[in-house]
Amino acid sequence: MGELKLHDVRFFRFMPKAIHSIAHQHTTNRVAVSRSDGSIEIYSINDNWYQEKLICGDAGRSVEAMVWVGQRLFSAGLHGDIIEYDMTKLTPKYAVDSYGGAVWCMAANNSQSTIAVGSEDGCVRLFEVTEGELSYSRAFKKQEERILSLAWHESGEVLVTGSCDNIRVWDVATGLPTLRIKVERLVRTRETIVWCVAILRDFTIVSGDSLGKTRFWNGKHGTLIQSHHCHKADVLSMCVSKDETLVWTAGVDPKAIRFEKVAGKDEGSRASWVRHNVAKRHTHDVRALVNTGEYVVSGGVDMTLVAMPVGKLGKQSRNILPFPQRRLVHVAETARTLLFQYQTRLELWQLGNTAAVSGMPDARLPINQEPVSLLDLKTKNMKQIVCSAVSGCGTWVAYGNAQHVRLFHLPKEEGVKVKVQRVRCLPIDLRPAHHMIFTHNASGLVTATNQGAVQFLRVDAVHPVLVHTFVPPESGAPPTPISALAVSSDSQWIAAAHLDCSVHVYNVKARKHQCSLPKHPSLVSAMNFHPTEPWLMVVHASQQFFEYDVLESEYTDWSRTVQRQGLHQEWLKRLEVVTQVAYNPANPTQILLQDQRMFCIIDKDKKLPRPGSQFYSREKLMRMDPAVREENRHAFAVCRGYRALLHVSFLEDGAELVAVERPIKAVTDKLPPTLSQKRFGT
Amino acid sequence: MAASMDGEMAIVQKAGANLVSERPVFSPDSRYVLCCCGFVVKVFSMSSGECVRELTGHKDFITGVKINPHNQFQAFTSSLDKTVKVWDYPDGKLLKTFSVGYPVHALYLLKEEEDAGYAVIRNEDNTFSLVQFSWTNRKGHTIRVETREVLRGVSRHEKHLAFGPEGSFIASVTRNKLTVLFTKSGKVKEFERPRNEFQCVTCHPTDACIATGMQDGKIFLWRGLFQKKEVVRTIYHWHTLPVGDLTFSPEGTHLMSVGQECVLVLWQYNTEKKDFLPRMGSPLCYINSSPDGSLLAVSQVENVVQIVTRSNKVVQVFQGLTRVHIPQLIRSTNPVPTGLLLDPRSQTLVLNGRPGHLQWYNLHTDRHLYNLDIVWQNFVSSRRPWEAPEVVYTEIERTAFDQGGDWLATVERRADGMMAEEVKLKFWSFNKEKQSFELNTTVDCPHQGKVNTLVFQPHSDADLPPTAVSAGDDGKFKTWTLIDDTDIYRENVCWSCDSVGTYRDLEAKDAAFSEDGSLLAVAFGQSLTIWDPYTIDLKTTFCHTFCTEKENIRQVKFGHGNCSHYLITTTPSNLSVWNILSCSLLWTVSCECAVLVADPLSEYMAVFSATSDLTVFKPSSPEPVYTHNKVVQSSVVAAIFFPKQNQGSGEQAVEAPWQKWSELYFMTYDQDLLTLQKDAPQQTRKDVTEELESHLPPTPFSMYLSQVRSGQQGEESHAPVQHGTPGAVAVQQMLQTPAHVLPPVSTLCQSFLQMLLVSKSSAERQDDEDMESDSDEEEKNDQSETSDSEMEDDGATIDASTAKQSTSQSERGSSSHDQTSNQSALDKIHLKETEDFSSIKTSDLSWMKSIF
Repeated sequence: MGELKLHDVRFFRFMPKAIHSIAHQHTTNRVAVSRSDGSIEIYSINDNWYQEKLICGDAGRSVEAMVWVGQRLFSAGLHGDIIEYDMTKLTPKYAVDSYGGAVWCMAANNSQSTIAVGSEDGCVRLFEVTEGELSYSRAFKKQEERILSLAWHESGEVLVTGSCDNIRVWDVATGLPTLRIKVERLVRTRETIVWCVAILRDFTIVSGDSLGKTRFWNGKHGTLIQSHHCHKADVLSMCVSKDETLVWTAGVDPKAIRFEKVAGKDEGSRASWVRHNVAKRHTHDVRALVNTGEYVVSGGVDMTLVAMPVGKLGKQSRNILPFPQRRLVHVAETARTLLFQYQTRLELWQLGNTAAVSGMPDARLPINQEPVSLLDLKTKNMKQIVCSAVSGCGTWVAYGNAQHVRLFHLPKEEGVKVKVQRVRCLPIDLRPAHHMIFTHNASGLVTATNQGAVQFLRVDAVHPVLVHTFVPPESGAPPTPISALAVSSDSQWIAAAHLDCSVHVYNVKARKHQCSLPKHPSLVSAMNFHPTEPWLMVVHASQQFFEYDVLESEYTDWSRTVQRQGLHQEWLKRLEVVTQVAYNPANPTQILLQDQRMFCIIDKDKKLPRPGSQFYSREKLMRMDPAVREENRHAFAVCRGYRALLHVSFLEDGAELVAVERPIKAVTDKLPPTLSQKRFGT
Repeated sequence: MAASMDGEMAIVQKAGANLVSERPVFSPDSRYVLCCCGFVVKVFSMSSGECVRELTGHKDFITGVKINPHNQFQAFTSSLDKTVKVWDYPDGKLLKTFSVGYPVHALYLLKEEEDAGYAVIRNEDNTFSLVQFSWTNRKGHTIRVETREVLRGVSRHEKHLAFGPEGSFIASVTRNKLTVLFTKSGKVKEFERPRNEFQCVTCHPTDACIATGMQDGKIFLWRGLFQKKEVVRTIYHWHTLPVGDLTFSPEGTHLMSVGQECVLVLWQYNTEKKDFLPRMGSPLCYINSSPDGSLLAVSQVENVVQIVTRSNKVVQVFQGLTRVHIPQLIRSTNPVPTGLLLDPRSQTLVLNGRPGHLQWYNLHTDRHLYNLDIVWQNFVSSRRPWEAPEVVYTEIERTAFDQGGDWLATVERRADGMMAEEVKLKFWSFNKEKQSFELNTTVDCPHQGKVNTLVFQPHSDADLPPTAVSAGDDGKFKTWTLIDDTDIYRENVCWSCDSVGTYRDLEAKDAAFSEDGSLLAVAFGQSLTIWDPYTIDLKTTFCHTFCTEKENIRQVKFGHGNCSHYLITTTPSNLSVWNILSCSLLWTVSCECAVLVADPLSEYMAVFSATSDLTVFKPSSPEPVYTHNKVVQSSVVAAIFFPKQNQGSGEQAVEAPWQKWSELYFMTYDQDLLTLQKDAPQQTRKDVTEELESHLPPTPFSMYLSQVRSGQQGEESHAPVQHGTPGAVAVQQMLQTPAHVLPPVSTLCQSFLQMLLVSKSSAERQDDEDMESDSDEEEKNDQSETSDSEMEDDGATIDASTAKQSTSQSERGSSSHDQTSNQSALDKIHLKETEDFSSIKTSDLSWMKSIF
């Protein structure tokens, strides 16, 4: 394969945010995850947990609760508004006042016609969901304490709320409480907070409180059926399985405990709830817990989203790292600079360098030139950055937030620090972008707009011109957001992958739609053009990849060979989605693929691993005897061992790689201290 | 000599049997506890802690005892002798014998099945299966029962199998597998834990719930067994070491678990609450709950059964011979490095007790008297198997008593292989007031390395200070004498090294004094040296000249009685007898000797070979008096000739001559204390000592009746402390005793007069006399008549009877000083001194004792 120098970059100090709430969409099996900065991520469970949408947050917006009504997503938080989101533009559509101050909890009834909102002032308010909007319906009788949790009965006639010291059962028709359950206090002066409630079909109320107790109540009489003191600290979240035989609870004590309803030994005897297994997948408070049917999804202060399979115990649980599955790092190949995209700022770094020549594989080289920070660019009003780009020569930087695209010129001047010039007069027609990329010669900026179109902007320090807006061919359905964007090195082709799995290729010179790729059921997670040929490499979330000749509108021969032989099982079994693909500019037979745990260089000239054979990673091969090594070597050279790999790409000469890693330890060290628990033997 | 060879003697376990081999069982009224104890079942009284009945009749080890759920006065026992026997345990009568045809390893009885039981039997191919055996109510003493196999491939331990509520399912655990058999449908469910091992199983009394204890200390609760979907398994993890045993309370509200942590854990069922009873003393192996759930019986591996109330209070302790060698905990080559010793004062057996303790055990009454803490170190429960290094305990390696029992010397050693060895020689004096041994002198590192022997010099005259000799691996033997250590602050004596002797820098392996204490023999390597103990002059040396192999002498013993001029030595392959008068080798035989003991009361000696062959001989002749090949399967580690309780009485003529004065007890590696007896095991100890009261089931009428009765009794027993003269009781007893058994009046006089003296404290405790038990007492005295009055000055008899006195007292519930024997952990030791009758402790009945 030849020797490659690897820049192991660890100075990207991206800090993910804690998870506040999770909501599951049943029909399309998607999960919405909100974080403490108000951003919402939407994962497609069916498509290998691919993070398909990211709605940027706002400094003034908190998301404490989310609810799906059909395909519509509503969120509410401490700012006191209920917001519906535009799922194409990925921005808030409108906001409705809750009329009761901060909202702590929100739930939709079974028929998805009404949303109940529990707020600070102690009122439960109902909002009718109508076509295109949300309208205030009425309020229940006010109670003294704030409402911290609520749940609908399946019938939609009964609502149960949890607040300080009390659980109340409400009649929805009259808006009056029918039952009040007083929860005991451990210390007389300290109130017990009911953090989460659920009501089952048989009117069993399940509650989790700040004493760490999970309790099962008779919802008709208000009597306690069972109490399990399993948690050492507050029970913050709870979820119930669809058939209502399983209940999971989690909280400050980061255990997820499963309760199961067990029938007695004969028919007549009463079923009881027993504690089943305990899973400890988190290190910090678990704030949200959702049952999706197949998985129990949990998230909290430690930022990682964990999906535990419900049924088979043998199935592996899945950790989704808190980093966005998008490009946060951009490399200017010629200028050897790195652009880091944080939530509200950009950083430009000059890469370090070495003069030493390596003799040994995997040897560390001494650095003779330290990396230098060139630029730190903060957004106005702390607006969150959606996308950013840097040109290959390093003279142009662009970023987009929810409303605008900003372009900056960094003219090269010897001996002075970097000078930044903002290009002010951008064309009015330039839409807010979801993705952006500079052309290879830095003459143009390609943006994917929030309406599913692609815009080509000729970059100029004085007067940039919008050359053309490429609109996807009409298919009847409304346009979907673009998930990936690629420009060929000769700037002739632009490819845009949409969330409906279609990939459109546009001809820049002819300003027309060139072709569409055959639809694959899985989303495109990354794609790129061949440096010389009009070939497009497309990688899907299902780990499949194709190479497509856009001129001939057919798959290339190599891609056909790969598909005929089939990919190796080990490759398909990987959990992470490939977020980046690139050809080696010096040797285009080498293709670089990267996900969050590894990167891999596929050599087209080498034989593919046979499906049944052992799939050796590079580390294992290096440990083998040279003779055996050659025998077992295959086209996939996999470098494992990364915990959170955010970016890998080639530099211009094709002999150097830049790998940007964010060590998980550095992230977890910044977290607040955990609940201290006695461990045996310490 | 030849005459005694005719009858092969049987190996029997007379005392010190293992109480904790199986789960203890409560009687339905919780007044008695039944423990399997070797070939017998002992019935202990809850109120007094005494063994009140022994169910003897089985010919092999008893593997289980169960109360008949349909008749609370019947107990079933299973044994390896292929039978199950039914007993009337309050009367100690054998009712029926069921012949099963296979060795029975565990027994289970269900309330639902009136004439059937379950047993775990061993098949011919050494596999174990659970069978159901049923009997009809037809007459006959021995009934051959039919068996029907229920489950194959079970484990032989009782705790590895449990029955669900109403017998709806059977849960059985083997190594890695839990098997549940549903009795109605006949379906079997299996659950495997490939990386864990099941230790025990129990079932909830009403719920369909199985609890299993695991090797890694987890407790699994398996529920939802009857549902179609996956079973629900809840983990409770507190134990760090393997879970020993589990049981549910009868109402099912609590789960009790025990393990090697010496902690009893009470788990509230279905909540996460748990409660502990810590510091139980030693690792726990079994637990059982009384039928009403108010009491728990907890077995400890050191052979103790403790009865604990639900409020975590220990109310009764049944202590057997402490088993030093706790399995999986203390691994040493010899469980009793001190050997078996006789305490000359109390005529009891002394040997290693729990780690760092010596125990006093009365063989005649089969009672553990107390433990003496020698090393003063806390017991540390063992670590988890993967946590090295394991705990090393300080072990008492050598112990010796002086002739009168006034001095005790101990050598303790701790060698963990990393630090320097810690060796301490301690001298203890007997404090007559406190009736216990007190530390007098501690000598750090008396020898470089191991101390091989420690003996006191027997003194014929009392003027000379007591002397002890120790010998060690450093090639020295040292004599220690008592010197005056009085200074201006106090009067004191202490032990100090008097002289040191060496011989050619060889290791000193053993030392022995001649019977009169005039000669000291020390074995150095292959040479045997004879010294004058007063001057430490080397008198002569003996050496095997014919020995081609250089073998070191292991043991040296002088003969006793008319063989006192013989010196017996053992090497790994030879036993030689030397005549000191002629300074020549008398005879030698080739024999791999492991243990050599001499009878202090006769000239006989016994030797156990490494292959556990016993030979009894007289030093004067190489002809064996008695041989017994392969006395036990395992090796013999210690032995003693123990003086008989009633020696010399004419009726014991059937005994072999060498057993006339003493009985030979020996301890095997498995810590079974065995002895030899002429005929098959029989009831040898005291007869019934307590009238077992049968308790009617608590019907309203019977409760009323009992109230009325107890009220009457209360009036009687709480009569004024002294009505009439102080000696009225004594007079009454004297008059009730038949005249022909009364000793001369002169003998009675002293103690009778003492009765009339009323000290304050004895007056206080006089009240717990009642008439009923007086008559009991009398009966007993009649029975123990065999010991004649001529034995009066014999310490052994007196002490034995004193012990008996204490038992009789405790049976009546006067818990005044019976506690001493039970609560040995308190380390407050009260030896009953026999001569000292002025002691307040000797209560008003003792005068009778001193007579017989």
